[in-house]
Amino acid sequence: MGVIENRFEHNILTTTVDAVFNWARRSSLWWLQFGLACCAIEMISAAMPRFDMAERFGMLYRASPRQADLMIVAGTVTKKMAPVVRQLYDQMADPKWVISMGSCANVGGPFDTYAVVQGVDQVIPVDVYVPGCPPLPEALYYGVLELQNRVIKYDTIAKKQGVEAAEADRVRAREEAQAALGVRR
Amino acid sequence: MNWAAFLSNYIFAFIVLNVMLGLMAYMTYFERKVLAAMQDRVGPKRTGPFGLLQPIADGIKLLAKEDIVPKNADRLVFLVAPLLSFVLAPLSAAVIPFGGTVTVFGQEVNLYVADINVAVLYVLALGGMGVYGIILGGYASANRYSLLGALRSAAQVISYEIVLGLSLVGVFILSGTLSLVQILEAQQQPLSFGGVQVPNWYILSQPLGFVLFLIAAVAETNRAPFDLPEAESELIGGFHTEYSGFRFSFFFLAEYINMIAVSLLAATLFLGGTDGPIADGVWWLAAKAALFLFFYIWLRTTLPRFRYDQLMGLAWKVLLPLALINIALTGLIRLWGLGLL
Amino acid sequence: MSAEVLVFDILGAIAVLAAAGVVLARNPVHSALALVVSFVNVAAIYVILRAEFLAAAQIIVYTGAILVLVLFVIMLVDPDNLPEFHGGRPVQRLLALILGLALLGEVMAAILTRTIVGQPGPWSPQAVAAVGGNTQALGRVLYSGYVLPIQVTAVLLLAATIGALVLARPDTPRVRALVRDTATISLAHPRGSEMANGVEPALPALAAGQLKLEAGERTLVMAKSGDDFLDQPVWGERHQS
Repeated sequence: MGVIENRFEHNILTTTVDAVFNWARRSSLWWLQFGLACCAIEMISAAMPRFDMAERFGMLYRASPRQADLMIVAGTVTKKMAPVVRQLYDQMADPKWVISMGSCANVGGPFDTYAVVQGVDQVIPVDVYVPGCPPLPEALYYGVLELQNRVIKYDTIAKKQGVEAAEADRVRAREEAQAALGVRR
Repeated sequence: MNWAAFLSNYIFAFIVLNVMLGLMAYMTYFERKVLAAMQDRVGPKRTGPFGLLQPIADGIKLLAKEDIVPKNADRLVFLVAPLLSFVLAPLSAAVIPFGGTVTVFGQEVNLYVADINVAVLYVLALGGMGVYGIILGGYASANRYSLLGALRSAAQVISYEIVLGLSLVGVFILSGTLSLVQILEAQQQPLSFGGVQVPNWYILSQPLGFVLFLIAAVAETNRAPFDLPEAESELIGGFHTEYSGFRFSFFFLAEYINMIAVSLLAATLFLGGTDGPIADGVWWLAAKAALFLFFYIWLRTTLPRFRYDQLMGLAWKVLLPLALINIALTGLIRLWGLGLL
Repeated sequence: MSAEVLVFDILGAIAVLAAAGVVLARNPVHSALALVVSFVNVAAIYVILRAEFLAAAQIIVYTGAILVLVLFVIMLVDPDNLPEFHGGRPVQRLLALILGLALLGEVMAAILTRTIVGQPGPWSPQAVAAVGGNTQALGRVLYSGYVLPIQVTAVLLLAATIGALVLARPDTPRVRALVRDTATISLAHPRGSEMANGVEPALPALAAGQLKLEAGERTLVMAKSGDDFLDQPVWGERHQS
């Protein structure tokens, strides 16, 4: 996974090291600027001085997926764009998280048409769904803070019970969130 | 062999290197805070008191990322390129004089790592070698856009290197030497300026050379407004698109160390280095270098990016002729001053 | 064995190995990189010989400029178009080996018997130190006794630069004019092919009382500046006829 992580047995020294890794990972989430439609405007305004999502929590936006940990899918995912979304997700380096922002990325939004993918979770696994059309920057903030909690939880479980347990918990959380979206046509 | 002198020199070099590396990490913090202040927002605030632990968090996170090497990439060159950039960057600080000579425990310690008599040429040579990190990074990524970005960046760096070198020739004519320690000593002489005694800082005698050096230095380090090859809206990330984790941080941090080294150089060559109105010392050098670093960040916040052909046109059609005119004028004035005209 | 000789041995060995790498590498970029390593080691050997200016010039000129040019060419040329570096029939290789060994033998003989030795010139180390170092000494000699060769070299380089500029220009005058006219526009598109032929595009005429043309009738006007639009009313204004 990482260059030096998880290479040692769990002992006193590595628990401190893991705690430091946890803190570092959530304090320095670099997000991939991936605005597709109108939600991108709200994402940009969240990065602007009033809300300053891009700097206040140490998050930076990067253009290259290889350098990003977090992908905020903001906007409608069309069927033409879906393979691109998948490719960018695959190009990101582990560990990676996804926030789906807005109704279109959550469930396809108001566009139940032949060209729109009904939710980006059909293409990539999503950790946090932020509802709204478009969501207020405060809502996106709430989503990001919730994601930070997920990161902390993931790293805590990985430290105590191993990576497989952490992955299993994460998959379970994703499925719960997806089920909470309700039935979609 | 004088082991005591060798050891003291080595310890001083070790201290300089570690200070440079620490400064480089906090340079990223400084930049984010200053950028934020100029854009009417707050920078990193939550990570540690006043966000001071932010660079450490960034570094640790980058260490913990997965190490991706693209399948078609040339593996050896992919691994070597960021190292080349990162290693060559702090070497320029080996010739910067941080002071004269002090006596510690009865041993004479020079407050500079080396006083070579071609010190400025050495710095220019390192700049020339630094191009390889960029070219190889772009080539090894097996991505044609990275390659184009890398080649653009390399062409930019070598064009502005010429301007950088020529803008300094005026300083060499006035001081008669290429060694930074001797240039520093030459600037500590007083200069009589119509009855007023000012220190002989070369910014006063070489204003055009100073401006040219500053512009060329910003372009050499690939900083805004000359950062087209690595800008996000152009070619995604240029030569460092395919790098993730700590390899990317090598490129990223090498840029900051280059900035610090160039600021120290500008402070020594044009602003008199450790010379100050009261109490000469390394704090004056630090203050002047901090001024240049602030100027770098100020440029980044304020100016839009140059387009590539405008950038190259500026180097070859505007700055190079101005540098040549500067050399000619300085030569004439020097000859007139020496009474040889 | 003094430290100097030891350092020279190490640097020399690396330089020779890198030079071997230049010839033996499969990938031309690896070849160029091995050459960079070789040049840097040669520059370090110059420093041992107290020729610091030459060392700096070697790095600035050779590795910093010439090899960058070589790398540019290698990277921009399609790999299929590069010449065959490792071909050659066995007879050629055998001949190359014999001639190479003969050359090596001659050079070693010349070095080991020490019969080929030049006369020491006027610039002994004391003379060099008296003028302040080897950069100053070099400057004195170059710009007093050897001024003509420097000027001739400069003219030669200028001729090469002009030649490169001429070779890189577009071919026909029409394309050159187009490049010249359109090179300074940043956001606007070029005036279109009609302007290049000297034909002004006709701006559309409006009927009385009409604010703007019907959707299907509007022609596209490629404009270089806002003046081109003044004949058309701005959306919302009544058309004054």
